[in-house]
Amino acid sequence: MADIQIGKAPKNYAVLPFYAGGAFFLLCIAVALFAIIPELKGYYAAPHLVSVVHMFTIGWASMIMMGATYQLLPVICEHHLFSSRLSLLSFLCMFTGALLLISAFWWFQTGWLMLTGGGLIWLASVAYWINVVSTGGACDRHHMQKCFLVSAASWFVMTTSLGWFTALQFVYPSTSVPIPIWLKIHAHVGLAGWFLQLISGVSSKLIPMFLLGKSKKENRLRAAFFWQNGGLIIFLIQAPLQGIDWLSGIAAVMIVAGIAFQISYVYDAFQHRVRKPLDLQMKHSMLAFAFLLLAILLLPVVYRWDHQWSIIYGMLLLMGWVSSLILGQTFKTLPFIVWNARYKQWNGKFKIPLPRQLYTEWRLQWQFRLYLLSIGLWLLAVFTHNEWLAYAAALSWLGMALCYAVNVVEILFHRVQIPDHVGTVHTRSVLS
Amino acid sequence: MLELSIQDPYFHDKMKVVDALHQVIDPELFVNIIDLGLVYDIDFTTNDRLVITMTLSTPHCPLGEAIEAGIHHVLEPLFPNKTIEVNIVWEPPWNFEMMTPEGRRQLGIEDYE
Repeated sequence: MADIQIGKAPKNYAVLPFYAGGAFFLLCIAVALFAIIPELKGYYAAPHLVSVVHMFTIGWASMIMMGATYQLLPVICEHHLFSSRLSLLSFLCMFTGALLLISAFWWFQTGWLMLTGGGLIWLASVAYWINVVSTGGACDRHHMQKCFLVSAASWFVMTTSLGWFTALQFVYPSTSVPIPIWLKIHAHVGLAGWFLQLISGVSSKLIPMFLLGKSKKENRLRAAFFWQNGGLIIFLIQAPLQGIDWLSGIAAVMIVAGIAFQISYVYDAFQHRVRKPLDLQMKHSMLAFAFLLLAILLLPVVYRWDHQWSIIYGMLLLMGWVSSLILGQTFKTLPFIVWNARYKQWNGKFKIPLPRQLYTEWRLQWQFRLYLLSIGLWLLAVFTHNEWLAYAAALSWLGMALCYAVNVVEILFHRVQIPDHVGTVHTRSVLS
Repeated sequence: MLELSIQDPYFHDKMKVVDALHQVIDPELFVNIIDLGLVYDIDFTTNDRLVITMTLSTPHCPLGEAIEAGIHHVLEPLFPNKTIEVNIVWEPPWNFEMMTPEGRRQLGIEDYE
């Protein structure tokens, strides 16, 4: 009977490559940041800056989010993952597509390189959407986390479709809407659709789970879902027709209301937590929400003055909100995934390490310190137009990325030391 | 919640089971499954079988298999003539009030009322 009740983790190949890919792109970002420093004073949509933004959004954030979702979907939907092979296919498309697209932006090669890269990423998003919808569809219980995951996957497909369509406009212009408007639509659907809704769904499940907290205010999550999606749909219909105007402002207010409802739900669970001390991973996560709030407060300033404020706005969202969350949650999920794969059959048989012992704690502490230092220096450097501060910030970011990547590699390549006297083990299934 | 009575004819064996299950750790919370209050019942009444009825801290938790393997590994040497069965249930759902004071202390929530 227990066979149908205990969750079976997806195959390792469905999840782990995404973490390796994400770590690889985080290192690429760290190197590329040095190269773009002289361009920070220029146009925010310059090729190198757009390339780095796509390293963040596709190579780093989407990569890790997809891998983590494949692991968490069965827990959230209480059903096995629809297809591990489809997950692997989505990784191969995503990784290759990211390499091609980022290269195309860096050397500004509009044409087949950009369109092929974008096409592969679109395929990855469709494979992801099929997996999410099929796993969620098999789940009998209705809850808001599932709705958020399905809507996030749908917005992901919309984001990649809009991205590919925008890339097409460089080669074959087919609409009267200017490319910068398409870029803004593509960027905001990605941020408020794909990232925000995935983070809303996953964080409202994981944060209460990790902190042993509970919120009974499910209606806040429901409100968050409707406000976020309502605002986004209005924006998507209105922006291509009229450009960014007052109606976009109303859509933005609706999305911000949705964010407020979601954060208030998480905060309620945080207040009612019974596990009071916060570990470093949770501090990273809490910090992420602070960055999101700061970015929202900046919205009117960005709309009014644009330029440098746009760069700060982007930094708060990508280096702050999204990165801080991933930097922390990686070490809340990856060690468990690897531990489960390596040690589940040895539990109780001999003394085995705990998941948190699969990586080096001092490296995680330095990752957190260097991250804080780097973010602080970046904001100061952009405010003061000081290149030396920017180089110091990039150096801190490189140190942080190295701490993260080495820990990830340490976990991924962890080997089990089996004592000679162990004997037979209990297994309920063929071990992957 | 697991309750043992000294009048129970299997009291001695059940105490051995409880002692052994203290070695099985929930890897998510780093606390053993007895102090977490995950074990609901220990049943010796069926011939040749020892049935552990328990829950998991998170429904459909992928670490459930590891916990189940741990239970088999600690109980099989103690009861070689019994078939060990682990029966996972979701009712009543687990919550932190089911933890023992020791479990709460290990999680740093001893001040919880």
